[in-house]
Amino acid sequence: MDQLDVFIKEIIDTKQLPGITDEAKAGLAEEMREGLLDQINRALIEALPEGKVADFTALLDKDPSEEKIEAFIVESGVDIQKVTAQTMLNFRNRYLQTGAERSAE
Amino acid sequence: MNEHAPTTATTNPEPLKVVLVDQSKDAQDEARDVADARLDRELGEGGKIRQFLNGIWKGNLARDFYRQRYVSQALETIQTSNNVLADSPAERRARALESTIERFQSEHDEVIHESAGERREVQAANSVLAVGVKNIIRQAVERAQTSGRPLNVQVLQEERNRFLNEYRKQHGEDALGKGIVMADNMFDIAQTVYGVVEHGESLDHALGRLEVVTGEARNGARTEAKYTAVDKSIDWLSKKGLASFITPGALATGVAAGMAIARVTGHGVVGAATKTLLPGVAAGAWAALRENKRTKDDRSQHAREMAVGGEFAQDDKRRTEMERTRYESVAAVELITQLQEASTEERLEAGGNDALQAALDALAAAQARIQLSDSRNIDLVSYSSKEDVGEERMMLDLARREARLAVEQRLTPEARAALNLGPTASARGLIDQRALLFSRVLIEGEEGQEGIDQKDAAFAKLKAKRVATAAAIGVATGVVGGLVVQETVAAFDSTRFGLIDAIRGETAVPFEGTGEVHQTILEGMIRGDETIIHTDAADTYEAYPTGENGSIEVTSDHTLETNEDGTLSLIDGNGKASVEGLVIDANGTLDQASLDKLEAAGMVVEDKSFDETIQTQTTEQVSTDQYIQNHAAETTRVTRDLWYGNDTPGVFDQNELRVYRGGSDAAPGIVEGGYQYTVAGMTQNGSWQGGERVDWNQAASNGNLFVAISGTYDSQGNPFMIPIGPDGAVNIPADSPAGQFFANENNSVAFNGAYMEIVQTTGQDAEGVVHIRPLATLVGDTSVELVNDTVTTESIVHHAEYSITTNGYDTAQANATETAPITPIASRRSMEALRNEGSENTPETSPATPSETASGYGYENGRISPDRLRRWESERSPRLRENPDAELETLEEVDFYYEQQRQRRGEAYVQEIEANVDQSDALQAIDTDSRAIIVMPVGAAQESENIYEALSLYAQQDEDAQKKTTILLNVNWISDATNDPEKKAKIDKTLSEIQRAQADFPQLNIAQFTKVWDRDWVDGVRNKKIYGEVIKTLYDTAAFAVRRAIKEGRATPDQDLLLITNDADQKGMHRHYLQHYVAAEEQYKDSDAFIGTIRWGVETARDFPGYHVSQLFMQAMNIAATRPTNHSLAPATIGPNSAFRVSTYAAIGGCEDRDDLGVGADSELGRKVLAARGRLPEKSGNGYGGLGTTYLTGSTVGPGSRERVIRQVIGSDIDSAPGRLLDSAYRLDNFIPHAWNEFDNGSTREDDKNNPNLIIKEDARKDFAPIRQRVERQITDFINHWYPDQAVASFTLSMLFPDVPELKNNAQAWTLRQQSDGSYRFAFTTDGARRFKNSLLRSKGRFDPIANRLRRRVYGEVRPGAKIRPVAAEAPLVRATA
Repeated sequence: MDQLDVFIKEIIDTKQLPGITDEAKAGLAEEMREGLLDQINRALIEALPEGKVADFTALLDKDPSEEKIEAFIVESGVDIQKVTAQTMLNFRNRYLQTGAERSAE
Repeated sequence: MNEHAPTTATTNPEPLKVVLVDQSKDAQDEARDVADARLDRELGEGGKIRQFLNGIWKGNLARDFYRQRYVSQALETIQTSNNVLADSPAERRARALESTIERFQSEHDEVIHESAGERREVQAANSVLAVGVKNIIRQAVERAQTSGRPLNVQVLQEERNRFLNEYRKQHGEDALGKGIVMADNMFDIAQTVYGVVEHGESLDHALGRLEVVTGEARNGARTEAKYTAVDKSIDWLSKKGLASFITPGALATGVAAGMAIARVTGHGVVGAATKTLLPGVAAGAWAALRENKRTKDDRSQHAREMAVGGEFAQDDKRRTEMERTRYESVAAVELITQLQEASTEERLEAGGNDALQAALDALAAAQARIQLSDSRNIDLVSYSSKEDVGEERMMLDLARREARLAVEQRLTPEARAALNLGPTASARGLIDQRALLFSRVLIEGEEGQEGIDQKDAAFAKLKAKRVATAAAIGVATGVVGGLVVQETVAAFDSTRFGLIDAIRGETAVPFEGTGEVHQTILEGMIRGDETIIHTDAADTYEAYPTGENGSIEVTSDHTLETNEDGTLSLIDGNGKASVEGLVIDANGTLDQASLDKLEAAGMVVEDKSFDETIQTQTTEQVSTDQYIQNHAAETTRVTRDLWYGNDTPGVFDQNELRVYRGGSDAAPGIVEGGYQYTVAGMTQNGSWQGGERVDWNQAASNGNLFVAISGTYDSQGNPFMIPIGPDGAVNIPADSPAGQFFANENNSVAFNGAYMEIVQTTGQDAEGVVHIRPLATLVGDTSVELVNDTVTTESIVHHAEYSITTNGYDTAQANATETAPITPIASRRSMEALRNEGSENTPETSPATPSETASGYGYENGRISPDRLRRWESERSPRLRENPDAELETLEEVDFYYEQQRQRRGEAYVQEIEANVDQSDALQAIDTDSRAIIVMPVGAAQESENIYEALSLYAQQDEDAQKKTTILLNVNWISDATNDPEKKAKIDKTLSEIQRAQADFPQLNIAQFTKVWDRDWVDGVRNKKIYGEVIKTLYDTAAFAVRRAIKEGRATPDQDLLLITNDADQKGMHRHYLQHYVAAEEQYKDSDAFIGTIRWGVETARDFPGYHVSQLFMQAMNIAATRPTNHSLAPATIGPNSAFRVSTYAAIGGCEDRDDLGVGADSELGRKVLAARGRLPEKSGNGYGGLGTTYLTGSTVGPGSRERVIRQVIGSDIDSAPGRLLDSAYRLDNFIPHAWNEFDNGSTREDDKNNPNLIIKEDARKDFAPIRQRVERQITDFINHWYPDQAVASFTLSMLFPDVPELKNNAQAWTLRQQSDGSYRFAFTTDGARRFKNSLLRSKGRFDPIANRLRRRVYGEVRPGAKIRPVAAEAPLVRATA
């Protein structure tokens, strides 16, 4: 279990979903993990300076390695740590806030 | 213009083009557009508070989250339906698909926009793709020919999918695209091939005409859909199977940071607040960045939506702001009009070089817009709707081509010289060159027109303003909003405690993981870092033993524990000692110091201590004196007043000696259990002393005679007293104290005490001394010295017991104050939802029942694709194919049709229809007199309350016409209806009502057959649309019945009958309805179809006069469309009141036979007739290429000469139930024909009735303004979408709303003006509106509402108080009877 799994598990536990089986919880965790990673990825691209987005997609066309992509992002001035942390926080808030949102509606 | 010369199919060398177009990009763009529109719509719902909250959440924080979800959902729907416009009405969807196919079938370069990413490729005849497609079609046709069954669309589609998937695998995505959505016409082409082969062309020859065209379409708006770069990147990741753009190491670092702040808590409120406040500043920058992006997104979205016909209200602020930055666009239909007008032969001829230059300019202007749109991904051309983009774009391209060809012909050297054009430059080159100039104007603008640059500048300004505002708000809301979010989360999260929880009076529960209360910052400011929680004293007590006989009970909130030194302590629930060093002695008694301590601690001590006396009994020998003392309580204190002696006067009776032993002679004085003496021997008068005497017996009877036993001499003042009964027996129990002084000696009683006296008691004195008088005395030997006695001893035991009630205890709860999220959460106001969203784009959700579709017809009276026209052509009989004016013989055509259906539908279908004929005596009674068959679909689960009334109308018709008419009912329902008891009851009632009508109206020839549709087939195969099949089986049964009658000699071969289409819920009918139709059949042999007037609900005019007027216009226009002078319009053959000749019906190949045909089947039949006779309108008369225009670009039929293919029958009115035209459309302020769309969507009338937006009633006196607006909108929509002919519309309007003659200048009542996009707008003038209002309310100056006048005129109702009563029989219409 890596840090991300721990993070996901913690927010699922905090949510205190009623009557959820372990199996369902595992499935949920998997789904949430994918969702969170997707959001981190999107946030990273959105954090790219405007002029760099086109370069980035052009880079993807060249089938680059992960290291090259990461280097591009960092060199573009994106603070990976900050973006990731902020996205996680937003993700967590969103997940825990769902009930509130429903009630508010 | 149609570029193809009219030819017949048998000699037509035209290639048959199979088109395979990938629309994956369109699908993705559409999914994003749908998601954006949905978000906007949802964000605009509810009141202001809800909008504000939604704005925080969906509009800001979670916008991306929701948007992505909606995109995925929309894409899934699109992919499943294999149609980009999955949420559009079926008819419009089908038309859009057809236009895409048609565009790629076209050979003209202009229609493919390569600069926008489109491509088209004609596959070589021997290519893998072409060969594969041909093989699929060949096999499908051969299968159909061999089996005698129709082409199977499912099998063909599966074969196609399998082949294309395999092809993609082998050749990659680039070959055919991603395949998310693939538009193709393979089935239509296969049908055409099948048709031409049926007509004699060899299969190889037909397949030799096949061309396979592949391509990729870009049908949508040009402005780039939002997030394309991001989506592309995510797609790339997905393809690569990677989780993240960054390496695991970098991700782990970020995750660690996220973990750290996700539940950042400080045990100090100040710490948490600081941690929140500092990033709040950064939140401003974050918000600014985000607003920057979203404002750009909004602009893209607005541009895309407006480019495809979006509309918004003037008070939609965000839209209005964004509209100012939108590039000036021109409607495609307007460009078409400009090009057509500029390049007409007449204008070029008459206008000379100036006209030529103008045409060149029009071409260049259009080209500049198109090229800039394609190359810059912007929209400078707009379209009527997203469904119309493909078609209108194609029409524009074709118009450009036609205009260019017209210009080319005029580019003579003289003209070139005059216009200073290059002598050798091609027309294309000249247009390109000129287009550059127009492009520059479009970019840089000119006087009175803002260019792209100005719009961009305006946008930059708007964006800067919004970004600055967002940044400022971001700082504030980053903190404030964070606190609000934190409180909101806490309010619904049991693991967090916030201000709201505190207000609600809830208790803070420590978080399991840390044992601390996780609180919000605001709550932390109140509660601080620590909270003292007081626990009250419990109601229950626990007892603790102390010493041998002591105990202390303590309330359960504390425990009493003994310390090592023997002292006691009270311990609270937290394990903390509340009082220590309590001292008790050996008995368990608390000393005073301990009691003081407890009191000082606020505890209440109740001393419950007590002493217990314990008695102990022992047996021992005691002295006589002691014994008497021990039993003193059993003695009686006495004093002897006198002794009765021998004082009996005169005698010596010795009574004092007459105490004898009782018992027996053998044991004198001994009795069971004791001893016995007797005084019975005493005489009554033997006891005297002085003057006193006593009768012992009397004394005994009075209870005054006792034996007094004194154990010792000293105790004779306290003897044991035993009463003596009247029998004189003196019984002394052996175990009594007195008995201790007697003994059994030698079986005889011996008295061993001092005295045994027989005494009389005379009373008790004040001191309690009993006065006695001995009668006799027995003196003992006082030999008893020791006596066994039971001795009772007492001891005192002390119990030290206490009850301690504590005052509870306090717990110090440490609070963890969480850092608030710093995301700026200002409620972002999204763009308003478009005003034309959702009304015409309702997705299909559930099947329409036969009844629901029974009275409907197509939503649009629109364009027909070339593929469909070709297919229709292939379905016609040879006579019609060869000559659109052919005279048709009934037998020849029904024979053709019979065989065609056997070939296409299979033997089983033909036999099923034949069986319908077999089972009906009425159908088999058709003879030479027969002229018409009423064909009526009856949804059995819905029409139980209507069918009898509907049939009653025919019973009121002319007798002769009744004899000539057969009424055929297709009574049908869907299989699962019988599972519903309510529907089952309705079905049964419908059947019984038909029987009742047959019994009540024996003069009617009523035939019927029943049909139960399988639910799975309806849903799966028919795509939930069944109406097309309902009427096909109905009309085919009628046609086959006519064939049978001719074959059996009951009718003549050339005898034609009308199939008159009626509904089962009609409420009234012209009293000569049948007679007029029969007469029309006989009189107008050159007409193939007829229509009657439909009054959509006479009664509704009372409550909805605006609706009445609107539907009146629809009817008037439809009738106008039948006039020979108005051939620019196609009259609609609407289900409730149309008629078709059987010969024509058969000759055109019957109903449109498509699995997706629902509502619209009747009007489609009319269009098939018009197409077959070469009388489909080629173009609208006014040049506006709106929805109602029908083009014949694919037709090979030359124009026919018949003037009135479809004719109106005068005096054939039907008063039809308005149903959903009113409730689903007009009352919701929707275009009236929208209701037919809802039939197929399966929504119920209950849905309509529950709609909160339903207009309740129209009162022209109070609500005239909205009535006027609704009527104006309805008429405007009818003209633009159904009957786009300005001249015809004007004529009709003049009839309905004549000018205002009462004014001197004969003022105009209305205007019909063309708009910038080419559409028309109808409006009343002020005078006209006044007159219109007057017409709704008054007649001849008196209050007489239009509804009353209508009922009088139509049904002959009598006006209250009328002097002249009209004869009811003269009223044109008769009402249904129940």
